[in-house]
Amino acid sequence: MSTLIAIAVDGAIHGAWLFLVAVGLTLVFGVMKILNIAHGNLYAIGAYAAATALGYWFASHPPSAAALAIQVGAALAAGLVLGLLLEVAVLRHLHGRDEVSVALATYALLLILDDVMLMIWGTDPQSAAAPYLLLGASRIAGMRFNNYEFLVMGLAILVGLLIWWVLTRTGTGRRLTAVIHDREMAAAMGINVRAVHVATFVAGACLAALGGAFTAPMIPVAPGIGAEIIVVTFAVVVIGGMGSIPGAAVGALVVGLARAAAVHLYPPAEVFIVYAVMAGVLCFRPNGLFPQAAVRRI
Amino acid sequence: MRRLSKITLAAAALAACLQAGGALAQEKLRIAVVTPLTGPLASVNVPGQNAARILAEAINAGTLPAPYSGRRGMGGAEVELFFLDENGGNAKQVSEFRGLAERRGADVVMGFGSAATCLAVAPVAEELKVLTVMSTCATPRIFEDASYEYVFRTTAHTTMDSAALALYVRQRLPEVRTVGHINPNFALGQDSWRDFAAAMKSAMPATRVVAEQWPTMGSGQYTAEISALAARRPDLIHTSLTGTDMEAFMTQMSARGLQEQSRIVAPLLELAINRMGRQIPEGIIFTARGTNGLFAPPSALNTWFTDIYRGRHNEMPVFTAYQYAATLLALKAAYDKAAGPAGARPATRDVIAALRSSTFEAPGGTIRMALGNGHQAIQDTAVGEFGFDRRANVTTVRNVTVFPAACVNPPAGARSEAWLRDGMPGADCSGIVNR
Amino acid sequence: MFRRADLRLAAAGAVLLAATSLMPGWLLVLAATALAKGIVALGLLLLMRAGLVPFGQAMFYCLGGYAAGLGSLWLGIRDVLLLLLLAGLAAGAAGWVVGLLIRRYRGIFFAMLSMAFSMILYGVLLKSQDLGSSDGFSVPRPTLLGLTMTGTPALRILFAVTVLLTVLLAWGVSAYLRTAMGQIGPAIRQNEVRVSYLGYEPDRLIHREYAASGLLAGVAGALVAMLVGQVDPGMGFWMTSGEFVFIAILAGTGGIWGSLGAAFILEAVHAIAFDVAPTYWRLILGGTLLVMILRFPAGLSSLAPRRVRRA
Repeated sequence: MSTLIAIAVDGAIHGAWLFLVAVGLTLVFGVMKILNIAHGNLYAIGAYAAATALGYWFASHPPSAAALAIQVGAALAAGLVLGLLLEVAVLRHLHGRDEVSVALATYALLLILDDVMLMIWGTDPQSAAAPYLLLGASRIAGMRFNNYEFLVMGLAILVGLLIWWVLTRTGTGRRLTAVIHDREMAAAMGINVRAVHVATFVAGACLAALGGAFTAPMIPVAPGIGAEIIVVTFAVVVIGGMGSIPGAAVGALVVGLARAAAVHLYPPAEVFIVYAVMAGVLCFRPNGLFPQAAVRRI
Repeated sequence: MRRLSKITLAAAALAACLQAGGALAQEKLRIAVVTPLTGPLASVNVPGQNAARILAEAINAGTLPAPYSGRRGMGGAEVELFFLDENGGNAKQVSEFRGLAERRGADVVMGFGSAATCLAVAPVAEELKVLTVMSTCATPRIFEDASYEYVFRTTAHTTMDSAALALYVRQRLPEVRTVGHINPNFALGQDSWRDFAAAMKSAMPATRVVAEQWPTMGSGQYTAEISALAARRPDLIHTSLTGTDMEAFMTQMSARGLQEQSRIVAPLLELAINRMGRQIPEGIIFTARGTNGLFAPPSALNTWFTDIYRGRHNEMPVFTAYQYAATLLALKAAYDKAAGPAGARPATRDVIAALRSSTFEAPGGTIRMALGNGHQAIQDTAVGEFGFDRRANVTTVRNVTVFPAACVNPPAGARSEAWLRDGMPGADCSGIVNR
Repeated sequence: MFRRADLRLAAAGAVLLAATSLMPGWLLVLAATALAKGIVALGLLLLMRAGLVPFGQAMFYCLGGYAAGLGSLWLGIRDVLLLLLLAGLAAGAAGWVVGLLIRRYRGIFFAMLSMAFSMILYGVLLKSQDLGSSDGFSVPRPTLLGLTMTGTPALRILFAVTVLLTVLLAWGVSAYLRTAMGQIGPAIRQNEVRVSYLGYEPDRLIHREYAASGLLAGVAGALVAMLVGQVDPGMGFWMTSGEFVFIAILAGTGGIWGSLGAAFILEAVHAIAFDVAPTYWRLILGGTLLVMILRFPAGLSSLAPRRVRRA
């Protein structure tokens, strides 16, 4: 029984984190049909930005809740600058090209951004563990959990609700949904598709950076952290159905729970459990759990 | 046909372009350092690169202390280092290795952080007859599965760490009954756990394994693993996580108090102590893969090395720094010996003869090329508990036990895995010192 | 049956063979690796014409390498050609089995499912301590028709085998692309429903081409394994697949020249970047690739004159 509770808690913690990291990827794919392989780098840059900002702040201030504001601020700044830069400098010029070429261009960006980060921050890991230890621990089923993990969970839920609210309850969201369903028709109806694209990509970049900024206190931020998460986030959004926000949430939870179950019940499977789940889901739901409606061309 | 001539032209241009990098001054001794310059393993190997630069400068300037004082260069030649990234996969590494020897004029190749690269390039080094001295990569397989003429390793392999840790636990923590582990899911982690489990079975047959965790390298999130380990409450937890993985695990597990219910054995913790400092819980049992770093026996060489390293990089050198330094000192000793008093540049054949089965002094103490027909080093090692002196703001080590090389390394000709399993026959542990 | 394009292919092969004796060891390994990756790209060309990009082709490349390694270690087969045959058959058979499932998928899901399978293989190999886990194991130098090979001459022979095999396989692929079956690929890409109305079964065609691409990747993996003398699970990692996809996209879907050329260019840029900037080689690699994608939208094969492109 306590094992089941542990699996549920660990799985939910991991799933929430995965959702936070992956939701930007699925948003960008849904609206722009871009599989952004450099998503992991945006995450990494968010983490670096937060670690650097926290480092400066805590060098002269005692630990406090201001840390959270700094993390959010650093992530938004990094996402905004980089998102705009990449959209304007690269992705705009690939408008109308096939999905695979664009994905490949983002792979080139992955290589470039990896080295740019190496130039800025070097090989030495950046640590910013202060916020991680700020909130103390609590006990569930006799086990100690760090409260920061629950903060990330709360943030993930908040971000999810916010996206849902924007998409369904605001004019911007309705325009976005129109572009998701039919780009040409939306353009014909007078929607500024280009502006929607810029806004979406920047939002995706900010979400990735936010995921990174709140991961920074848990891990040392070092070269390669972006590459480590990118494939897992792919798995999450593919399981959920590419471009679906609820799909990303369910996919993240499924992956989180599966991984926690493997760790508690059969640890050697940890290395491929994510891929096994993905293959399993796709066997029965070839387009993921929440597929986007596709037009059948005759 | 016009296209073909264009292609040929392009190929020729490419060859010329690559060749240009190889223009070299013949009189210098060119040493290629293959080491992770990028990727997650770069940070733990940077100290090695720093140390290599320091040693090369001192060798050229003739400022090394005894027993290396007096002679400049190696075998009379000035040393020149150049670096190559140890990334991109085995196929890339093998073709780059050939390039080093055939195109870029490397006289010696050293470095190597990963065992996969070592295993792949060793036969190529042999084929090309390039003196190759491995500094770090740790698997015993290289000299136990094959024998080489041109390949050496100036650091002990990982079997030593596990043997010493198990003996330490038997001596200092005899009450341990249950063991758990969390090791990265690749060759180093698997070997490390296999060796430690075998050594524990020999040293403390009453212990049993109650929890196993195999996280993927670089995963960074250990929430579930820590819960699973905590739930089983082992007396002892073994982990060979390293670099950023080790730091992430330390941060996450100390926040949840895993160290309060289990003793933790972390052979590779030393690589993280400069960066994490007081964030590491006190009392974690660790080694430095030899009597390196905090475990180093006092000597003029070690004082010189740590002073210059700290002056330049503002931190204590960790074991990768000691390993790279040892490689260059072994080479210096061999080149000087082969050159003789005349000081003429020796042939590679003579350097190999001088290096084989040699004994040399390094900042971490005496190293003997005792295994693998004189190609694989053994050295003393030490185990202790991590501590942090808050007043002086420095990392310390306490309850140290020093194990002589002959106690924790298999005798020549034995296979390490079988040696550990059979209860370490022939180990001479008469010289154990407790500090 | 033989066209000018085939003669051109033969001539290119002859030039490479003639150059063999002039090339130093490092260049032989570099060029042979490039050719082997070109062979993988030939297989991807088949699928890409149908609009499919597998993100897990490294699985077959890795399987081929391991098949060659285990064939010589466990079965005692030492002959290059037999090992290549074994690797090709093993990878082709695996491709056929996986193809049973994967042939129903399109677009990103095809890509991701193939990647899932390749990562499962990677995970299994990582856990296989007897096969050396992440370190892999060494593959002994093979023999050719009973002759033992050592040193640089062995590299020359392996390189020559690679050249001949590449020419042969490239010819086979271009001949296939000219057949009626080979022309259906692009039709599937454009409109699958209409293709099925014409009486063809897209799933079956994709299945066959997937198995064939697996076979090609397996042969390439075996070549590299024998050339390098070592196999490890990294051959099956998603980054390796990414590199293959990169070559394939760079090549475009115009024909065999693009595939082979792209493989060569990628290897060359990689090698030069490694030499020029040991720490920042990715920047050079990524920058080159980005410029190529932006400048040559239809891939390298769009550069060739129209005549050649049909090859």
